[in-house]
Amino acid sequence: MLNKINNYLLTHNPLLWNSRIVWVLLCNVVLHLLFFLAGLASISAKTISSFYGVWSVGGGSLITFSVLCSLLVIIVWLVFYLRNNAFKNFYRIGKWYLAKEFFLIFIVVLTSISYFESFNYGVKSKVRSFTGTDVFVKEVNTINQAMVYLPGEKSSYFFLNSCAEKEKREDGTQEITYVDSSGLSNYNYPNYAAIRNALRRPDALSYRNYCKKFFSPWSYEGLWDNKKISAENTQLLNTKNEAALRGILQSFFTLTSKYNIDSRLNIDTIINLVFSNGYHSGIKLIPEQEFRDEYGKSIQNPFYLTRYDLSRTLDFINDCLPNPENLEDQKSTWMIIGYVALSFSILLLCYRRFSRKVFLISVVGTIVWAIVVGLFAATSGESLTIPVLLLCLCFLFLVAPFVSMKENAAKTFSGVSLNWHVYLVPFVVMLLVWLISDYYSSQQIVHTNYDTADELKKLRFPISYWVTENTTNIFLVNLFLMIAYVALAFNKWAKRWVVMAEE
Amino acid sequence: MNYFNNRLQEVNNYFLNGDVHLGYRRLLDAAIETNNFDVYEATLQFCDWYDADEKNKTSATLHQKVQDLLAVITNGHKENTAVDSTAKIEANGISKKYAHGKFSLAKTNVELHTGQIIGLVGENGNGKTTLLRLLNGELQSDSGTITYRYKNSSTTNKYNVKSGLAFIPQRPQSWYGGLMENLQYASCFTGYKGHQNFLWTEMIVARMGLRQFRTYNWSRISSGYKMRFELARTLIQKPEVLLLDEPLANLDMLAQQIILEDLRFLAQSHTAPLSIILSSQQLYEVEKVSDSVIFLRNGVAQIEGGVAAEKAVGLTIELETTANRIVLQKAFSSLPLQKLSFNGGVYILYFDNGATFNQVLAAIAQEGLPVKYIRDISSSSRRFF
Repeated sequence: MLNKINNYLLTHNPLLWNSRIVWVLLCNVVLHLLFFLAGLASISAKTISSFYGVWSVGGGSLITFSVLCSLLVIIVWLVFYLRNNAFKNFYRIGKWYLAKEFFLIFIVVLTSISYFESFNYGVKSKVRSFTGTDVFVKEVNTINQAMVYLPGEKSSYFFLNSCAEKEKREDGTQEITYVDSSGLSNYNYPNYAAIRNALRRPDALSYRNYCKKFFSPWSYEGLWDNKKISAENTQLLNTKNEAALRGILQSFFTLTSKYNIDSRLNIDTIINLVFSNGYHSGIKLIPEQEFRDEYGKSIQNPFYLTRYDLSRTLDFINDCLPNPENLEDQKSTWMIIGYVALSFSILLLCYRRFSRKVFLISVVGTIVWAIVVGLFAATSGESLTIPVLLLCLCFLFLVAPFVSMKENAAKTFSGVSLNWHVYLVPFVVMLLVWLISDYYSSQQIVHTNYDTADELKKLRFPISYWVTENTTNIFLVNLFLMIAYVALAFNKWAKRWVVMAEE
Repeated sequence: MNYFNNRLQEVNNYFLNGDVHLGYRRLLDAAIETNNFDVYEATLQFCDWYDADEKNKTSATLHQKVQDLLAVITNGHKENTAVDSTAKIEANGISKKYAHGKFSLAKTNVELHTGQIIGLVGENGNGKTTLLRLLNGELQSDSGTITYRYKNSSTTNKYNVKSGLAFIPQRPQSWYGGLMENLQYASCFTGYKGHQNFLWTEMIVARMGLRQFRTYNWSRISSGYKMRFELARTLIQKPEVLLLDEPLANLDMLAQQIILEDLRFLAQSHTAPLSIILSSQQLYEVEKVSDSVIFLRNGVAQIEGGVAAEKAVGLTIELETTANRIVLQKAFSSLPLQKLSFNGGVYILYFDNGATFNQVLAAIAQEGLPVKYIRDISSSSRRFF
């Protein structure tokens, strides 16, 4: 069967046969599937809390394994792919043959260096399977509501941090953290008098004053804001609805159990504390750890809640859901993978199109002039020396071979220059963005200040503003443009170069 | 009777006279010339039968099978239009001087016509490879012009120009992977897809006598077969001009003869004649198949154009004998012997215009000279060595 397919490709589509794309893609599909399944298998609701993020699930060993798999697949592929080269043998190739060959190289490299992403997709898919967006929103609301009654810090319950008081302040979102008397010893603190006065109130520290979210993920639809949480809390306290509070806490415990969040809490004690007096000021902080250290002795806390694990778990789930922020991150990740694939594909293409001598000189030469440019930039002390110099070199490496190709002289020099040009050209846009961003920053300092409103920046520096705001999209578009540039323009020049006579 | 029928008759005669191997190769040539895949199919079936058993090559049924195949070839052949006789490559005054080293190729003219073979001879380091590389466009000529006149050569796309021009270096690069798949890969770029690809490749493999080696790898075959596989790969691409650098260098005597005969037949093809330039140090062998010979000495072409036209004045004989100089001078005293030189192995005898080769033979017979080898080299570039 395999022989039949291979023979069919050989006699019908020599490019597909030579590139071994069918086999390498088949192999990559299997490997991506295995990595995806590994991702699925390596996470569960109960183990989320033990990871720092999606990227840490596989750990360093999986990244290493993924790199090794990539290397293995690429090396084996190269052993077969490099066996034949229609271009260097001057076979009668079609008009689009070289462009198609480059696309195939790029696809092979791209699919061979992104196994780890499949693993991440596996992890994310598994998380989405037990906590979808709707479920997550409900869970975050429950947790945010429950956390009102599980104090971790006093400042959140301080009178001046209530929703009503915050609204009165200019910096409405800023919380006053100098609540303890020790913190108030600083007479220079701007709100010193107000804080002292507030602290004299019987409801200075009360469940009623709570106006924050324990966890603020991407603003999903249905997610409660501070006011909503505060309003729900106020109603519960006003109506002395112990049953509702019990329900909230029970739901919270179900979630801590679901995500294996380490805690020891007692619902009745919590309810008693909330309703201990009319001001609801029975705030008692719940420690983070099960044990505390006292005079060198480890003493067990009666109650505790590992908020950090809870927060990390919610962060993890939030990173796995398909919200615009994550999609943007994913776009960036694929853009980086795309650039790595493009760079490797260009290197391989140069090996396929040019003589070994030219290839080796250009690779070694690249290292040499990278050092020279670096040293030059370091001694000049100007931050823009590198982008300006590299842009000039990129232009020079394009013009020089054209002149020598027209004169039909200096074949090796032309080849090496073309190689250097194509090594640099994908990064031209990045260098331009670097220059524009630098200009933007310097102009902002001169004409405005960092707090200047976005609209004003937009009006004063429309191009710079647009570039800075759309950097990722620009890089992404550049990636596709560069693929087309190399496939169409560079291959055409390589074709002109290969027929050049040596001096 | 037209050209093609004559050719088939010739093939038939080879088989009738027992020259089976030659007949087999010429039969394949005739089949290839038809450009008909039904003929290729029938021919390859014949090849399978022919190669199946050594006895088949002498069996009574061979002649009948040949007759049947010749009938298929006759039916499958379509008369071709006249072959273009203009020069495929015309180089005027091309020269090359290397930046490093003392060697330089003096201004040389080369005119290669359709179906012509030009032999490029000379000792090592005299510019044969340089001239071939200049003609192949690998080296930049210091002076003169090279004009290519074959299909696609008129385009501005130099890559297409090079695609019609095949250059086989003295040491072909290694092939990787199976030999047959390499050939089929090349065949695809000639435009043959699917089953046609298989048939065309098999025909060339059979024609080059490589059927038993097609499943081998490059490392398993000898240098001679490597050259033949390289030649097969080139022929598969149907080039119009073939430049061969020392193709006989690693071949035994028999293989050399077969390759040269093959080249002669390829050049003579009626439907797709090849124009060939080959460099070699095998002077006699090259002269036998070449229409003209260019002899290079220190980068200077000694003969350009037809060998016969450049015939030396008088008679020049190469003679290998155990007799000494005195005996020889006595033996040829009746003939106008001008000069007798000895290079340690053979004598070169230079006679005046009046002497003939038969007179020399008669003198040798009369004196009873012990002759190991004798050749008239009056028209050969051998006399320049």
